[in-house]
Amino acid sequence: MSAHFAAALPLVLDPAVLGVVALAALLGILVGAMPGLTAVMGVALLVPFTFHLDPLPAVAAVVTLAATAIFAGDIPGILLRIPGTPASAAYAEDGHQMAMRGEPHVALSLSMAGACAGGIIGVTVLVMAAPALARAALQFSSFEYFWLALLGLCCAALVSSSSARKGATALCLGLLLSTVGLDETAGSARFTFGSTNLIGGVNFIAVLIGLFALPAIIRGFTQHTPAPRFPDIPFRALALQLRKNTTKLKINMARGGLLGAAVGALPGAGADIAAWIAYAVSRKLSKTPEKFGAGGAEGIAEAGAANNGALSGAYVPALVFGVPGDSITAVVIGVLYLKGLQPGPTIFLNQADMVYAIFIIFFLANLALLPLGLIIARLARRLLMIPRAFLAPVVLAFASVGAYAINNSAFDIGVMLVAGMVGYVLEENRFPLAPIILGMVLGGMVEFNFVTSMIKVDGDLTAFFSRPIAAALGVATIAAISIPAIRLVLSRRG
Amino acid sequence: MTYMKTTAMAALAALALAQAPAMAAYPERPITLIVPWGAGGGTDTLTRIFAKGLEAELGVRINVVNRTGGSGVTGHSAIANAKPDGYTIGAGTSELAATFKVTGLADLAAEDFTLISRMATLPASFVVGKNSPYANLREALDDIRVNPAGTYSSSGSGQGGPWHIAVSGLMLAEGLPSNQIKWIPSKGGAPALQDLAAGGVTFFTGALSEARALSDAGEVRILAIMSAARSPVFPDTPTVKEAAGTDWAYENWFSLVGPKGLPPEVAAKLSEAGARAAARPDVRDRLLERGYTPTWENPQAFALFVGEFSVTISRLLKELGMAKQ
Repeated sequence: MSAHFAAALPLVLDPAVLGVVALAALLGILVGAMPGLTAVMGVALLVPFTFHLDPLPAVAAVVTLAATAIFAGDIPGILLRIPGTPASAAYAEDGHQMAMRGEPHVALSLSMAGACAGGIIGVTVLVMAAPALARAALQFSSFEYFWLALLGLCCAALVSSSSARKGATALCLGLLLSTVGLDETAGSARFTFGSTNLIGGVNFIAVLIGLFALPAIIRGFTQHTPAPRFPDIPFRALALQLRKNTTKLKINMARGGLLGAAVGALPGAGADIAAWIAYAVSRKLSKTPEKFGAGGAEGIAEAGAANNGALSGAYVPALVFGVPGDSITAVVIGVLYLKGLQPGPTIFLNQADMVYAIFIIFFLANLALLPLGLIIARLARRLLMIPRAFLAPVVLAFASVGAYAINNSAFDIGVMLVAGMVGYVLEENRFPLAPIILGMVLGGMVEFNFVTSMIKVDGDLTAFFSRPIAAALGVATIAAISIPAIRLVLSRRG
Repeated sequence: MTYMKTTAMAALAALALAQAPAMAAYPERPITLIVPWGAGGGTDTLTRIFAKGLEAELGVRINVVNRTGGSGVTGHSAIANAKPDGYTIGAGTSELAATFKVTGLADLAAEDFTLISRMATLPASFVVGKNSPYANLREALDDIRVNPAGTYSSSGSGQGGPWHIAVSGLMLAEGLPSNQIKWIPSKGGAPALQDLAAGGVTFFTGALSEARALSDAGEVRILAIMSAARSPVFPDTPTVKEAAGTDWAYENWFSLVGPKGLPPEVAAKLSEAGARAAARPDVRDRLLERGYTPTWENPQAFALFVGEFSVTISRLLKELGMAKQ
């Protein structure tokens, strides 16, 4: 393995490659920080440019852009509570509350450290265990995905900070929204009222932007709070504090990174889901679960590590079997084919130098987050000191552009505005917003995998336990639902 | 003084423009090309490759935008409802011929578009998992025949999607009911192949190119390709005719279309520039590498093809019980 790395290093140290990496990192920051522009869209926009590049810089550009974009999605999440990409939604509330408490630099440097650690853990997993992990991931059929998605839904109870009843209500709202549009198993339209726009369903990114951006904007106009002042923190102090925090949260980051890599390796479950699950796990295992949703550091570090870890994990099935782990690797597989590189087990034999060069790029891209993140953490306070009344219209404009950009559709701006107004009312009544997004992301996955499984076995429910991995996941899910319920009943009796 | 001069010049220019809007040669500004499927998917990739060539031939920028959702309905509607000035065109996929209308999903069919040409075709393949007992397609078909309908399952696209049609057509060609193989809907080729490898379905009937990597890895085996001739990219894979003696070919197709009522000179310009783009070595090679068969034809030939295709597809959808009327 070290021989491979030695052979690959000169390929990477080419100034042209490093130049492409630097440019892609900057582009990734822009794409990620802009709500509505996701890492996948950024990568898709790169494709025409990769036609003119050599294979390595082409893949390097994609890898770097994705890594920086997922981190940069945290920036508007922390500063304005608008997740830049869906992968940041799980812990946007924590990051923002921490920033409002006067510590935007802490929140940003934490998310950066998490992203960096998660990314590096993810690549290490990719380098060490790709073939074995890919083989395991290939065992997942609709039965296993059904349980996985259901397990993800149980996270809703853990991610919502306020009362369980309100969390469940918000989750159901999300689940209901996920049923709008084309039913992909039957091929018929549901709840579309004859509208062509609704056949595509309610776009969850438009809802995400609306829910999280608009309430803050409305408050910016209705409440006259003076803009907060934040002290300027010199780089040295920032670095010292970062070291202290990473030492304290190293277990969270390691766990998040590993979990992210494992979830990412499953085709069909990407960075978004990894972040939610990591956040829920972190809260479950935390000594201070009450800090989650109230500006706690653990969730940011763990979920922030998980989403970047998932990015690398997604390359496991992509490189080994040519099966994309997420939408980004779907694009990467296309780029690889166009460049004459065939994903599959032979790529490790025929083009080992190339594969290891890509691995080195992964490390570089994640390390590049360190300086970029520190600079952003220092500059961030300036944005927060802008009075809300000035900031609100600008954010509204950005939110509208972002909603439009998802699908080049004015209809999504409407979706965003309606979601925002509903979000404002819900928040004023202390309903959590995050479970709505979770319901929208996982609702379709639960339903689709349930229905296709039922078609396969002609409605025999025992099939959900007749495959080993499915049975294990099923038992875990049922335990996750029933144990808290039993505890509740027992405590009421006692 | 200078200000007045500029104003006068601007006024003159405006006047000249106002008098001769139709005189300007198409295209004089960037063109939007709508893809009804997701970024990074098959249609998206091939359209972006083709758009690069078309851009060079037309000399204006072509912006490829994705309008996804609703199994292609959203994007195809956006193309059909665009202003027919040639500045919004689209990548039409086989669903536009009849699927939307016959299944009752949307009142949208070939007559709502100006048909230019197919850009590429993609043959269907018949794939089994690595532990499958079948050595060839004939063995598989014989076993399917002697077992009750629904014993075996296949996946590759949504319900009534192109690859569902491919396998149902094969069953009919074999003299079996169209639903002899149970169809398990999937959200594209990759998840269906994953399901095949995981043992969730018996067969994968979908794009040959998508099965390539897993086939190289020994996880799946490609038994045949549903095409009239062998693919230049996969010369070792037999056609259905060669492997089983049954006459059945099914190729999914991807076309360049505009909204209904595109001015004839605009359609002619697109047809002619598209032909040059399709002939460009960079476009051809990139499509071939991805497993597509580059295709270009004149609009009349394409319209004729779509007419025949919609007859076949309407019949198959009715057989499958998916027709609304």
